Amino acid sequence: MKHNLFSEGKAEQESLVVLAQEGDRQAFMRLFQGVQQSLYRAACVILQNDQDAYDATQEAALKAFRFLRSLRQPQFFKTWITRILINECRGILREKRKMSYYPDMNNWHINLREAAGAEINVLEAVNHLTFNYRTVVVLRYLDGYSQKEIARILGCPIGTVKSRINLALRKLKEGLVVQDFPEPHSEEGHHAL
Amino acid sequence: MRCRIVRPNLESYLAGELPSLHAVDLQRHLDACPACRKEMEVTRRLVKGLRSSFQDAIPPRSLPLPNLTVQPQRLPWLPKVASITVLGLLLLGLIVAPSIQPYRHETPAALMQTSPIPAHQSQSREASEVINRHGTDWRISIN
Repeated sequence: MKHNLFSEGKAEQESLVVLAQEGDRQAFMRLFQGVQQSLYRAACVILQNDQDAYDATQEAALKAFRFLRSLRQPQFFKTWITRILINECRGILREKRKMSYYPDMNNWHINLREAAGAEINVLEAVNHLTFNYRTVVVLRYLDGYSQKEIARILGCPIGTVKSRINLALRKLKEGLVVQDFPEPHSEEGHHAL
Repeated sequence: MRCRIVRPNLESYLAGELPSLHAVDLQRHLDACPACRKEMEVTRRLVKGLRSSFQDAIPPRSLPLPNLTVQPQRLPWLPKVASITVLGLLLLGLIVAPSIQPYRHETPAALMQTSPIPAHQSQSREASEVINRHGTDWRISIN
């Protein structure tokens, strides 16, 4: 799936990044508006909590604005801010692990179940993945990044990304049955994986 | 191409991210191998399910824009500190370098020949003290 980087042209994005680097808040807001939903949704799946996802997105925006001058290639703004978000999510999960505090996860599951109905099986399976696998799955299938872009976001080789995607898919196949994804007019839809 | 090489590349193949030559080889294998063909179908459906689940399960939410209370930071401090340190060391080198004299290895015999004032012919008490302090340094001038 091709992800829509921004609705505006690339040249305009780059000029917005340059303006924002000089301290133009309006330019940064326009840039951020183009990626805010995508960042929030990714954080939702990674953190499994609405409020934490919102906090991570806001914090990523503040950090991005603060350190925007360290971005040398404006065309990579989205991958750059996504990397900041992933690091924020990692930090939030680490803090939660320290505090052994997971009360909101169940609420999130319930909310999602109400919102998504049958889709909950897939999301539950994704939630059982570890942070690294969950992150690549979200970046790949929610945001539609290529393997090269994911490697840039995570700061690891493409081979690592590829193996993480394959392992994550294998784990998901082990945890799911094909009937969770019924294929219309297909006879193979009821085979167990 | 064998199954164990084909399986890890199925996801990239479905996403169209394999190099064309590799993709042709893989397609040729798929045409001949029903097990890999079934595996590719399962992967394709899983990927499709993941995408639709993500899109449907988390509806877009109207989010307030962040309040940018911070200022954009100047360029990271580390390159600045590193460049200042290097410049400082260069300046220090330029100041100190002229006062350092090169090491000259000379034998005692050579020193005896070149020494203008042998130690046993000291003219004054002050001169002998200077010579004793500095050994056989012939560069000391004595009034």
